[in-house]
Amino acid sequence: MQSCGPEWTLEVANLTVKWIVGLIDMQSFYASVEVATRHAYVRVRTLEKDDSDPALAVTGDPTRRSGIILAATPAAKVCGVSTAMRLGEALRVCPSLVCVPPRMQLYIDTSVRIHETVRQTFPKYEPFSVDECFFAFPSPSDLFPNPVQAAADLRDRIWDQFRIRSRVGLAPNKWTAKMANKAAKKVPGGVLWWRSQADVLDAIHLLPVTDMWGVKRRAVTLQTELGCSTIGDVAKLPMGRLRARLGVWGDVIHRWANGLDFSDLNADTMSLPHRGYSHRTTLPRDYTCRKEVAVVILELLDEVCARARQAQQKGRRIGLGLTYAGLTGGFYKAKTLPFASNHSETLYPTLLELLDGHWNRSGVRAVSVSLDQLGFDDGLQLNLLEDIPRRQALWDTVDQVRRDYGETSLMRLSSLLPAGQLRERAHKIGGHTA
Amino acid sequence: MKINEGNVFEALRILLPEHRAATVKYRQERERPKPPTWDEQHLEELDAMLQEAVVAKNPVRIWITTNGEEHSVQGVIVTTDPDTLTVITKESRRYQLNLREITWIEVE
Repeated sequence: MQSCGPEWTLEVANLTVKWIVGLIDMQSFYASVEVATRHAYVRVRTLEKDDSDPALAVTGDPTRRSGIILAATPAAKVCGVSTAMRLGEALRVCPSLVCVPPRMQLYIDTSVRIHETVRQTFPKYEPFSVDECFFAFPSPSDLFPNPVQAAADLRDRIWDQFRIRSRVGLAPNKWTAKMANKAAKKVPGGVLWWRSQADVLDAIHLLPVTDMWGVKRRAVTLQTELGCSTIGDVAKLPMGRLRARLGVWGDVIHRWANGLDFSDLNADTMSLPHRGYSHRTTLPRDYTCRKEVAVVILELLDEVCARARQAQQKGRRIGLGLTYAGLTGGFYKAKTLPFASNHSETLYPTLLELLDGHWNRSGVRAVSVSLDQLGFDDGLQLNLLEDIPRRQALWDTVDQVRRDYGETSLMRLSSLLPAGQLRERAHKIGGHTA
Repeated sequence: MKINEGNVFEALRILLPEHRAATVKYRQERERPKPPTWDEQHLEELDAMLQEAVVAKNPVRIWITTNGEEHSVQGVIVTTDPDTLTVITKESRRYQLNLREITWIEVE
């Protein structure tokens, strides 16, 4: 019998102890936090009734991106409001919609505390995003004699302390826990446990391919080229065929379709040294002029390099991503250099090469710059053409001034051009109001 | 390491740098040693001892905890303010102690 993962079983006396993996996610996180902080709704809200929350949405800045919905409560969704919808349209389908601006720092602070609650309850924990995390515990065990109860207790505790609703999927591994979490939406009590690989397969084999979490655009390939309409169809495909068509993702998709996943839970996620730094910005309008795009690339590069310098790291691979108008289409291309750097002037020419080599001249709506293949900054690499120590001293000074007086205390002249985004980005978290 | 060899979710995870920073800071704060809290009875005892010591100018030994480190000072209390206590040691050195940092007082 195939186990659901190599390390997951342990024989103790005559008892087989397995690990149960859970995925917990918060309901409409930003919107729920906003509702939870408003005194007017305190008494009416209950854990089990989604409709005890008002129709409320967190919206982005109406002046910059025609205001889109960042998050909406279930009551708003029932009215027809959905994430990424334009504010105007949302108000048309739901005239009584309460709209509030985002408070990113509050969401982060709340998230940190909810994550800590999960982390302190179970032996294994791994964050996945601001509003979801994995956890795992052995079963059977004295500490968690009833897995579903343990998950329900966690859900109750989060409601008690934060007044945020959550949902838990329990399953033999991470991917199935994620799928169980989605299915838990329809379960009263918000907790669903798929106990074995057999239970998993029963639950997922008739689902459409598009329901496979994490597969996205490859789902189209599975449907059109490989003739799969259900997850069961994917499971029956020989691994060789999947691997030939999809490379290493073929392996992953084959396992997933069969209810297997060998991903471990990494406890050090939050405090691990970074493997790369990446900054992205969405522009207020489509940029069509090369000079304008170049200004934004330089600003993002400065940010990425500043973070690398702060961590005393340098990177060998520099990447540029562009997203075109309508937020569809674009590219991401990276180049590995023969040396590592954390200086903008050294890396900028390569970014311009990537821009000129891959941009099809469509309007650009989002730009990202990433620096990876990091190594530590020890050992000065000398270059006959550049005065590296002097350059380092310059950047050390710039970094110090910006740390003491803020990001906009010292800017490149180009950031003052209309195309520059630095001043807009300076007071935001994740692109939204802190 | 390729995607099919390890933690697939490592590649799919989205965490804002501000989130990471807030988490690290929160965990550090929780682990910091905090000043001890006293109960009513303990406070009353200390109060009585202090008053006696000040009036009679008896030497006392005071323990304080600053940033997790504990020190003690021995001397005579000369002035008491709303938040500080001034002590003069045998070597005629003056110390101003923050009342909130005091953990124990012994009259000698």
